[in-house]
Amino acid sequence: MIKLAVKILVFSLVFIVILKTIFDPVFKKNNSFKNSIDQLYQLDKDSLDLLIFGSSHARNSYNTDIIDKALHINSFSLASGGQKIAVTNNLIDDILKQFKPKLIILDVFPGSLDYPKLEHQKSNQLQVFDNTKWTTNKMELLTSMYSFDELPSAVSPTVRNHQNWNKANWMFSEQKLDSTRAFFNKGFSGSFSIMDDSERMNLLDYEQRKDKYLSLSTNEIDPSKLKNELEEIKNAIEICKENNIELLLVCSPYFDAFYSKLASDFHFLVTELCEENNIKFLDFNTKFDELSLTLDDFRDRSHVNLFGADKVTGSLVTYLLNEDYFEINNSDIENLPKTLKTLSSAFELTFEKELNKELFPDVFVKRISMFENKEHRKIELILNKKEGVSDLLKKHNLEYIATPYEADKKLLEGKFKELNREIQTFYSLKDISINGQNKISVRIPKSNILKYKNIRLFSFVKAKRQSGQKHIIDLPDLDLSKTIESKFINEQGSSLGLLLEKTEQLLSEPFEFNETIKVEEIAYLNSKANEYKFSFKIKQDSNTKEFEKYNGYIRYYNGEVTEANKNVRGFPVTVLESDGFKYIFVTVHIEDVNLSKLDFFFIKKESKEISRFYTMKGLKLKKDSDL
Amino acid sequence: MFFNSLDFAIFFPLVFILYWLVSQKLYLRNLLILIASYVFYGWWDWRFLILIVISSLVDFIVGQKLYKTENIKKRKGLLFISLLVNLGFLVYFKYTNFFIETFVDSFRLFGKELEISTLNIILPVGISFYTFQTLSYTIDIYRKQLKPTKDWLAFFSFVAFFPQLVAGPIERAAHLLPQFYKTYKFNYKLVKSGLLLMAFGLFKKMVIADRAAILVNQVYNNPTDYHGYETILATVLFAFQIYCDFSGYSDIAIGAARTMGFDLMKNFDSPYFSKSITEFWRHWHISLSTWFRDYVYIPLGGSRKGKYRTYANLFIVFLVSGLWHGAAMTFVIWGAIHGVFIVVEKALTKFRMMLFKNRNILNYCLALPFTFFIVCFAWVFFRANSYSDSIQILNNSFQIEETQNIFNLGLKQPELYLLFVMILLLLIFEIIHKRYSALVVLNKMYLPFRWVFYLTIVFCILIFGIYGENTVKEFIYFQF
Repeated sequence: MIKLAVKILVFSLVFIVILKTIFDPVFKKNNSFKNSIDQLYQLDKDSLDLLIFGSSHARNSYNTDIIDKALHINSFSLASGGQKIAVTNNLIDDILKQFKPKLIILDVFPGSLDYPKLEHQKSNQLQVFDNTKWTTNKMELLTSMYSFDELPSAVSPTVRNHQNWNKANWMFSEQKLDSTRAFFNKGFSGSFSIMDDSERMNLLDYEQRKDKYLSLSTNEIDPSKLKNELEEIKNAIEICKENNIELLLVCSPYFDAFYSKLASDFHFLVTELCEENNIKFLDFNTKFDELSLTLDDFRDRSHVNLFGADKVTGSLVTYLLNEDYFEINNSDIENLPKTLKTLSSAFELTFEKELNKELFPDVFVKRISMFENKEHRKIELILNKKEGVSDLLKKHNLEYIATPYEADKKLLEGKFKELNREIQTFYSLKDISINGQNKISVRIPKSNILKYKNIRLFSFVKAKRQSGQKHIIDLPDLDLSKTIESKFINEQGSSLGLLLEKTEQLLSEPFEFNETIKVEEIAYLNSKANEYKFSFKIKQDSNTKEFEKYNGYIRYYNGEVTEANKNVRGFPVTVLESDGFKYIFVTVHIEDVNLSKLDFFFIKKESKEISRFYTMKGLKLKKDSDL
Repeated sequence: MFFNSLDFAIFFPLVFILYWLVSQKLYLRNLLILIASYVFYGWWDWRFLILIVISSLVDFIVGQKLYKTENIKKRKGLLFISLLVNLGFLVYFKYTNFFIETFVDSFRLFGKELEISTLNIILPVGISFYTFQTLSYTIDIYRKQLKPTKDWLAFFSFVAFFPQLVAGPIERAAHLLPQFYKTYKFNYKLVKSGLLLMAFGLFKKMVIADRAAILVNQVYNNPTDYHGYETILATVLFAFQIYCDFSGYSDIAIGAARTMGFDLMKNFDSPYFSKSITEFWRHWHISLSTWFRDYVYIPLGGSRKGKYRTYANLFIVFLVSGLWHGAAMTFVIWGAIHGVFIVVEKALTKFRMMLFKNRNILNYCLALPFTFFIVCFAWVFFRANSYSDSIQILNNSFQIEETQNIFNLGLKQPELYLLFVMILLLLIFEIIHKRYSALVVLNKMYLPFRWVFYLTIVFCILIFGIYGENTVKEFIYFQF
């Protein structure tokens, strides 16, 4: 009997170890929160200044990219969809074992206080539980939130997701987030979408309701209503006090606040609680007018989009400075409005044209405008009517084809490279924003190309791309550079010069990789988030025809120089010309900009002969805004 | 309580520990078994425990009385009481609606519509199993082949023994009851083999049977929508579904009993390797076929009353066996098909011997596939929701050119491939197990290899098993 008990015990231990170390990571669903946690644990222990916690409200509202750059600090958001405060407290407890930030921002609203009851609410908590360590507190939370039948799946992602065994991450590969619909940065997730028509219809009276939000008399408030729920906020306050960390409570803007008395009660009760505990409470629902928040700044009634987040974050940054949570030097304070504007995701107009062309049956485009921000281009179409457009969009696909001049085709990147032009198809209403008026807009990734031979926009009935009737809008010889001051664009229509303007030099002396490949300069620029474009300026007398016989390689390490930390990327050696100089370009996706070692080298295709290495050690790549 | 449920995962270890704590105190041990068995059954619906208690009580008293009297009339009367109570329960709960429907349908044939509606009766889980088990006790005493027990606790525990209460094996009192009279010492090897058998049973049920069920249900619940290879595949997979489901349950039952020192009879022995329908029934649901042999076939005269009477007896046994499986005409047809082939095989015994004896190639290339084909053909009636559905499925099976996408039947490509691989592994395992006992092979292995094998089974169940929400949970044979 004892032998059996011992063997069962050991077997169970082996089973749990294998489950937790091998299978649970395989079955753990890749989501933006998991990515955030992984990123967070790659940071230095002492490097973190500000941590943001909360639900999707917080995740969508506070842009860590803007906070970092405006305040010169290191911030991170660990907010996640539907995160309840009880779970947040567990997460804070877990994170504070490793990190000691100066300030914690906790986003609260009535919906985040109670325990999850519905299935989707319970699932939401799992993304946090999956990524925190096992403690008695966590066990208690799990047993109180999940029923007996739900516990095994709450505890183990393998049990929970085993049905999708064929889609599990068996290779333990790092999975990237889909950045086509949102901008991700250190836990922040900024949506590109704009609130749709149907939701706007329910919010027609929000202006009047907004004004009533704080008009409640204090004796109308029922303090017993949220009594138990507020205990969890008290717990958060206690945890921060115990760890000697400042806490700021915030409430992101959301329209439901104006449609519920509970939200007003909540505002007053939290304000009171904060006063008692000598901490601050910043409710952005009281700042709609100050921030000029409109329906266009929201992706739905509960969440701001990327553009709303710009406004909210800008206001938060100013608040943090005014309340002395963080300090920046005087010149930075003076430049703050300008800095915030530079960091903003807001689009700037680059092109506009009056038209009268049919895009859908009986729907004409009166005006076409193109906008640009850090990451994207936006095409906005003003239509002759509003009614029925949504239905037409459901039945049609919209396609954008931009053909560059020959000289610029080598600047095309990714999937566009092979196609020799930029093509984007918009399949559904998810890809197309309709803002409630007669205006629809679509987004395309920002391009290196500024001058196009032709841009074509057309619609076709779904599944009938070849045979169906198309309504085409042609924009020939379109020069988007006209609104961007640049003296570097040469007469041939190349945009290369503009790119080279913003590079950071790595090497400014001549270097010979071998007898053929001799360079005068190596530089780089941060072309997009985490994408770095390296340029090699070639010595003038080089025989560039010989270059085709080589493949170039970039090799870099994050952390210790070991095989595990090694990243290698090969690239074809293609020569481009600009302003009479010749260059080789390679674009590399680099997540961690702290490179312990960076090598460039070339290998001859046939003989596999390896060139000299150009090596740099301890290099920190600069971001676009720093260049 | 289902064997593949979280409740059982808590229940069984608890009972196991308590059992071995009181194992040397017979009364306490049997009391624990009885309470555990009633909890196990009552977890589903405690009200139906009354039926088990009544059935146990009647047969216990009848057994005592039968032993004490030599008066034939009295003995017959006592046996009649037992049959009336046990078969009465069975007939009422299982066949009332069937008889009403058949009655109404037969009048409809003559153009008369009767205004009789069916009753709202819940079929108690496992009623066909425990009534047959208690009946065997009374009949054996009546035949003077068994002495009745004076130990009511042992008898009640025998009737309600939780590992085999709801889906067998249908034990005979002569084999199982004496096991309740003695205590057992803890035997590590026996417990280990029991646990392994339980794991293997769960693997068959959760990985193979429940996965196959998804595709089978999709096709059989929409018979007009599928044709050709789609219906053929569904039927073949049903053959493996029902085998893995039922033999999986039996493995868990035998394994669970073994961990407590009890020995239950073997219920399946690689039936799909049979080379005739007669052989198939020697390897399929052995406890039921031997029950029918002993308590229906032999009383009917068996093979002692001439060739034609033997054929008739065989056919009747399979007809009744069909009806035992379900109160519907499809089950009767299923039984009849088996009955017909058993009779034909019996009639052609000499010819078959001449053709197949010592001819392995013929046996494996002709007899085995043909037997499997017949079994699958009969399964169509067994699984179809109605007679018209089964005819539709048979018709559609011939429309090969109408086959569409076999990966569009509820199981996507990787799932279907996984199912094929698992069935193949099971068949390979059974072939090897026939020659070399898996336990013997395992015990000869070094401990790390053995553990790798155990862990593989456990993780296969965990990862490839069908469980959680929206999955098939019930064992098929619970309904019979």
